[in-house]
Amino acid sequence: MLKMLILRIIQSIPVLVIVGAVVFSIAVALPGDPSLIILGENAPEVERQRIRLELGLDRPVLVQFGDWMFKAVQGDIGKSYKTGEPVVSVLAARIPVTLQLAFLSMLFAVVVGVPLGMIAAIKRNSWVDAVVSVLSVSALAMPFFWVGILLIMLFTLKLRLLPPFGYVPFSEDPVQNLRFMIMPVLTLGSAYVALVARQTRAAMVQVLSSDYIRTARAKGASELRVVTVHGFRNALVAIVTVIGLQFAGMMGGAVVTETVFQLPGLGRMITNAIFDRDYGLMQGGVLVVVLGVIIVNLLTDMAYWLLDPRIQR
Amino acid sequence: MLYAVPAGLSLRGWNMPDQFNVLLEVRNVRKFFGVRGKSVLPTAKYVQAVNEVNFSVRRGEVFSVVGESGSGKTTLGQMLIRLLDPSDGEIMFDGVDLMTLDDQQMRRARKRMQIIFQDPYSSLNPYMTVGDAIGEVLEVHGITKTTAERDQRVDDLLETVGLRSATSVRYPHEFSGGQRQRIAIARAIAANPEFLVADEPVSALDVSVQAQILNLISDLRASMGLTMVFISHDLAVVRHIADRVAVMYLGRIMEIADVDEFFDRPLHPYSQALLSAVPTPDIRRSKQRQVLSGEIASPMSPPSGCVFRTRCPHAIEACAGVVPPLELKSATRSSACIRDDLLK
Amino acid sequence: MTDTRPVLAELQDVSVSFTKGNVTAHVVDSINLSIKEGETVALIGESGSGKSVTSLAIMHLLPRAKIDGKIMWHGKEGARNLLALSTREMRSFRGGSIGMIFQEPMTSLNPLFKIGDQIAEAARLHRPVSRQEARQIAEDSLRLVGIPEPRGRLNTYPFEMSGGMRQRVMIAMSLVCRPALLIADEPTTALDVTIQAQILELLRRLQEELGMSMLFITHDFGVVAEIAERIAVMYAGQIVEQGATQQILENPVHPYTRALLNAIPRLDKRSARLASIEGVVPDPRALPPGCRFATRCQFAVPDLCTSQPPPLSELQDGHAVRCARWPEFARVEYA
Repeated sequence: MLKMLILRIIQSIPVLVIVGAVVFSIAVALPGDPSLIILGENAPEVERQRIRLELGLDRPVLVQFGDWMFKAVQGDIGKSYKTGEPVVSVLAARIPVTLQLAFLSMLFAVVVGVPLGMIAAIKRNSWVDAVVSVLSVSALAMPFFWVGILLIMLFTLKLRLLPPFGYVPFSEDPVQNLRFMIMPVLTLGSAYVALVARQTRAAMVQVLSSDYIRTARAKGASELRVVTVHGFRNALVAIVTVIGLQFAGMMGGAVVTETVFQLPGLGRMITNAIFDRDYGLMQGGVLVVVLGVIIVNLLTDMAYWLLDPRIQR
Repeated sequence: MLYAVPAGLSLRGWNMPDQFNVLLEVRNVRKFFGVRGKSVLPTAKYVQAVNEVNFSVRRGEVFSVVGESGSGKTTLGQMLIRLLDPSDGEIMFDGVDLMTLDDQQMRRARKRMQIIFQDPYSSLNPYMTVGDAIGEVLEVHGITKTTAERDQRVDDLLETVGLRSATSVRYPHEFSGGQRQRIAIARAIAANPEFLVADEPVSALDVSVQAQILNLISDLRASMGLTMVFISHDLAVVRHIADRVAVMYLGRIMEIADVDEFFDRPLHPYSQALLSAVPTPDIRRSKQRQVLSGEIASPMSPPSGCVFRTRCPHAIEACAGVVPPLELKSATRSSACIRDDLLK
Repeated sequence: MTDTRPVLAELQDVSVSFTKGNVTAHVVDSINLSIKEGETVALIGESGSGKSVTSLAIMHLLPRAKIDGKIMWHGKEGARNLLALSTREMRSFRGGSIGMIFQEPMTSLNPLFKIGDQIAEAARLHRPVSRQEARQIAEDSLRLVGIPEPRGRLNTYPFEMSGGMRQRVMIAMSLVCRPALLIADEPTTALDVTIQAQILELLRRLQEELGMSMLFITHDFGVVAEIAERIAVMYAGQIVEQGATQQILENPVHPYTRALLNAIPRLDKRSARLASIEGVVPDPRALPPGCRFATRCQFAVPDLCTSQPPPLSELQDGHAVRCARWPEFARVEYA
């Protein structure tokens, strides 16, 4: 287990370097000059020159990149061009919001999607299966912002149950925090409910038709036991895969969701940084997202390891 | 000297090959597959799929390679027409080492050699009509020039293998297993090859259909003068179709013999055990048999010396010391066993 | 010599059909078969003959099928019809009084569980034993089927074993409750011939030691000669001929049985040509009205063979044949 973990961590280093390079070169290639953003449109050329020198923008691009990477490894990923705040501290405030959103959405997707998929698989080709299937397709087809707006219309305008948007950290007021989170989680989670349900159904259908399921029945195991003990554990590998893979895609959904509900998360931060030509902040944000995806992949691999003895030996 | 041996070649493993009559000659062929270790560093672990194999196939004969799973017979078969490259050794086809051919020369050589597999379904493209699958071979090798010519030849081929020519517009999934094997055979003989490798061609078929396909293969062999390497685990089928038999175990040849000799009096202890294990639909014969204990060893760590010694009822200490060479025991058969005392 | 062993299981007019949309496939048609205590009966046939479906029907392992007829079980508690049992009652038969092993040892064991746990599960499902006792039962079971170092083997996973070993594990698992009947569905078909010989020998030994009955499903007449006392030959869902193994192998009467035996290449003699059976098995969704083999039978005559289905007629001593022309064939000595 440890061996595999070390191997996987070593393997992810080049990924981080490549992503760093890509992010960095995009920032360089983007039109617009950071000195203008810091000083405003009408700054004199001398001042702008001074700023460029200060930021090291006059040096060759490769040197800038090397310098940035070198500092990044030490945990210093620069300052926001716009506010001068260290990127790390900005991120520290934003990451928990997105993390909470992503985690709760996935939890919602799993808690609802897995049972739905299992039921659909067991009652394959029945009306239950058809209903689950139709619901899945509809949920997948709806864009996030639209679902978000529908939810606001229902819960805020019609039922007057929830605040339309805003955010309070969990540590300050847990109840209010959750009230703010319900609609974003429903928005982001609904699409993943569908994905998880479909994947669960497909995996279960395949597993339930396998020889060892027939063996379990031939042993005299009850149908419930066959499905939950013998079937589900085998289907779990496929379900974990979809959860792991969809996490990366979820970051894209988070950007839209955070914007609709005005959550101060990573997604919204990155979008704003791009509009502001705040390269320092943007690089930091993207790096964190990539790191997150790598960590989730690592967790997925560890889950495989735990689930499947064939990988352990 | 009793029989002539070509100059420069060792006597080992040869069954008196008549130099001019030999179509295929396999010399010291090995195939090792690398296995990825599970540690962080890539380790040099190898599966010895085929090891020091020597034999020759005469023109017009059916040479059968028999063995259980893990014997290396399928790997060997694929090397014979260079679907796989041997790690070492030479495969001489009509006097030329296939490994020395460049791509274009190899393509020309391919026209003369074909293979049919156990599962005809997976070896036929599901999106191609039967006619197109067979026609493709004709076009690739430039056998037919016009479409009309091509279609005519496809129809002829289908009739040769016992299918109605109307089947050419249908897709593989519309056929039964036996019919699909007929289609695969039609495709294999489309370019009029001299040499055919048949890898378990009837193993997936029901007995009644198996008989149809075996009869078809016999007919084609006679009418086309085919030379064949017939790979099988089914000894009864081999007895029916083969002229000579080579028995493989864990990558090595244990015995080569003419078919009747082999079945009447197998020499090698493994051949004897294998023959004894085959159930026959004969209630009187079936009661006495020798059941081998144990299972085939891992090809990653084969036993030292004779690879069969761990299951051999006649193994002695010396068997662990030396890999027994495949040597001539009579004019027509060779065996890889050091216990010549058993022969008496 | 008359056989006085009591009957253990009896299939009475068992039919199995599958319906999809408005098309019904009659896969098994009015099978009558009895298995005596301690007897081995083989169901033999090619693919599509219905032999496996018959065995699965006995176990109620065909969720989408319609099963008619009766399957009488003569156990200690008197006779019961397995087809009339509740799901719960049937579960106690499965793995309890009736064990079953399958063709594919490579895929028949759950890949994620240790074999010790899988065998122990079979014990715990039917007997009130503790985890520890179940483990002991599992170990004893592995020893029974000739697996060396059974205690250590309990902790291995199926993927760490060869096909032959996995089939032994399957046998061990099916026998933990000492079933009165073992159904073996092509248990050696996927195995190498030397391993097949080992498994057949093991099954023979176990049957003798445990005194169980066996229903052996196979397509291989060679295997049948090894293991079965009686044979029922199936074709297109029906039994076309049945009798003692020796009767069938040495004096087959039905044209299909004869043709099949002639189509098998033999180890002991080389024939120039194999007798093949032309044509294919009829579609179970569109069966011919007369004899189901008539389309492929070289002796079929119009009307007699094609207008109505021939009955299963008894020749002698339990040797029965489903052929309208059997009196003509029975007189001809089989070459």
